[in-house]
Amino acid sequence: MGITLIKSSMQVNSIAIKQLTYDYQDRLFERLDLIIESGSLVQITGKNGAGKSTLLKILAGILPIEPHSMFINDCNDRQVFALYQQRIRYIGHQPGCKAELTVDENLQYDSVIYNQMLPMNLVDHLTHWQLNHYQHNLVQYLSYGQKRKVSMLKLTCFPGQIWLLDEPYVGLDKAACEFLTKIINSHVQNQGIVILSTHQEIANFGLVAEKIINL
Amino acid sequence: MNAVKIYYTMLHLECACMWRKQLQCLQGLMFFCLSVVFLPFAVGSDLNILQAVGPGYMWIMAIFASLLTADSIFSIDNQSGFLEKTVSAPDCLTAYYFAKLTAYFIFSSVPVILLTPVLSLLYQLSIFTIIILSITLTLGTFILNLFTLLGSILTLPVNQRNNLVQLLILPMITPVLIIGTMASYFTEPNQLTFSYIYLLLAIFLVAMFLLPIASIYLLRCGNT
Amino acid sequence: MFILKSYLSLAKCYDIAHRISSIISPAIIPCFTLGLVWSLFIAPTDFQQGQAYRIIYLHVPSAILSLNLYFIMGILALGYLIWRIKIFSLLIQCLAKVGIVFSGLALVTGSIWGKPMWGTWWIWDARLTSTLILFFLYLGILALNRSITQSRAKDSACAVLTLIGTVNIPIIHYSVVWWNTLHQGATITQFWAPKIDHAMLKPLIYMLLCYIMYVIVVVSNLLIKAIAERESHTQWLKKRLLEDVF
Repeated sequence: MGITLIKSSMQVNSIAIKQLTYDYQDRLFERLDLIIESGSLVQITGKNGAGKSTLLKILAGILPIEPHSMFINDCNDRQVFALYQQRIRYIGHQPGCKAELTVDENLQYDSVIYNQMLPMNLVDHLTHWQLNHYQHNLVQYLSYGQKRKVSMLKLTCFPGQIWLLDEPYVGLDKAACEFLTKIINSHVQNQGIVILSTHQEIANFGLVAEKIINL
Repeated sequence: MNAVKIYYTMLHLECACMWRKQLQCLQGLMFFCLSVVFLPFAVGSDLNILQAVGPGYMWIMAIFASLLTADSIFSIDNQSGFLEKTVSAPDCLTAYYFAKLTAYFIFSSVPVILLTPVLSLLYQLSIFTIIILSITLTLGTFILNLFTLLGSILTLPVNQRNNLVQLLILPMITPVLIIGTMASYFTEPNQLTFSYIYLLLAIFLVAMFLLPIASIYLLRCGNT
Repeated sequence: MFILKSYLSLAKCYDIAHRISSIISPAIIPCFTLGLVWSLFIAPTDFQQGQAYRIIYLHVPSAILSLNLYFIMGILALGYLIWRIKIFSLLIQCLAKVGIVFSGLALVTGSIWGKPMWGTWWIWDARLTSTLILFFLYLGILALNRSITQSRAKDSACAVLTLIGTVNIPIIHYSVVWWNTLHQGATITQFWAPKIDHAMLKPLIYMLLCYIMYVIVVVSNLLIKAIAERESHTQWLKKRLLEDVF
């Protein structure tokens, strides 16, 4: 390891998981090894209960693992891991937005969480997801699909290098699915990393996975 | 964005959340008012008894009022996936914790503290007792809220609706209760009262140092 | 450090616990019988309290141990939080079960002693009240232990709770002593004269040693069960269980 000069403008080139053994009620992963390079789209697939969501949470740093199991740019320094976490945009199963706040206020909260200013052309971003008429509505009155769109807003409004998406196409209507495919493809072309878990064939949505992890 | 601006934005948004959930916030206040008003129906309206029992009783009821909504502080965010999002971007966890602490104090303890002088008139406590009671309650409920947040983080992984926070926190809050009520029993100004208040301040400082560290550590290391 | 860590692995601790349990368990009943006979019949009668004082041979060791076990749990919790040694968190959970029984026993025997002494079953004395709060602290840890199913979250939560409780215990104790002296004034709180006779002290220390032996055996057995539950899907445990059967 040695002393690494870490700049805050670090680009994540690779995420590596080495010999990970993890239990969640029962043994999920036994000596799992995987490497994810930048500019790639990775699909995690498997049966129900195989551990797709758990793997995504481990990659997001929500579930802690031993420090010698995860390497960012071949380095498992704590500072490097903190910088890595600043670049993660995680969307889990639940919508992940506060029900008592409006869409606008949820975006303000996101801007504070991800430490970035709100974009100037906020209405454009909302229009892409068909939420421009709901900007000042409380999230609890939106439908499930609309709540998922609110959580997807952060992918475009607060750009980050690594997208961890857990079943992203669930609940979205056709226009939103197409838009999501478009932004995933452009993100991967810009050296971003997209890791998504899904049961469905992502070819149906127009995506081509470079790597498929079958749990 | 610097940390203070992050904290203020989060505080503003958390207060907006709690303001829109008025019934939940007022639960503690309603419990406090009702229990204080209904004590004389249980023990008789003899002022000697009420003045002897009053300050201590109000202290206990203020503690329980603060603990009523304790389980929902973080569990709502946990169920909606918001807590996961916050934990995956951990720079803001400290600001998030303090914003929750301040918002919880403002909405569940401050109404109780503001209403204490009014309700003390029901027991005809002396002016000095009312002042000391308010001061000790302010300090005491803030320390209690520190413990309450820790308790609610500890009970986050429990799947049932529960009030385990009460069982976890009450033994630890006993010293605060003892010192706070001992201060409130003086009816006239004297030097001893302020020594109790300084003791409470000391406990407050220690708790303010240790408990946020423990709570943020638990949030970070995956209690979801 | 690595050598120490290999001794702290769950498989090794499982074997050590089996060995300890099998060696010490046969000795418990004879030792306790000797202790009870010594304390009930051989130790001299007290001048002030007559035969009723003999309950101290059950009360005092359980009171001492309930407090000391909590401090041991606090140290183990600190060790778990710093080094993430899994056996420490399992030990905390086992010790909590023993600790609550001992503090409950101390309360009950204290009440039984109180009846001939003060005429009432309960008195708000500083030491009994502190033991009552200790009982609730143990109860909190056990309740948390039972309600969380996920093992990682359970371990962290119990460890943090134990640590905060350990830091809190001196504060609680002194504030309760203060509360008692200020509210009750001149109530006699001494259980026996400050200088206890040697002939009475020796069976007390012997009973304390018997209790410690009992704690070791019970914690070993609880630890075996806890490790078996935690590692039920691993190969080494299945091998051990088959070896035990045949």
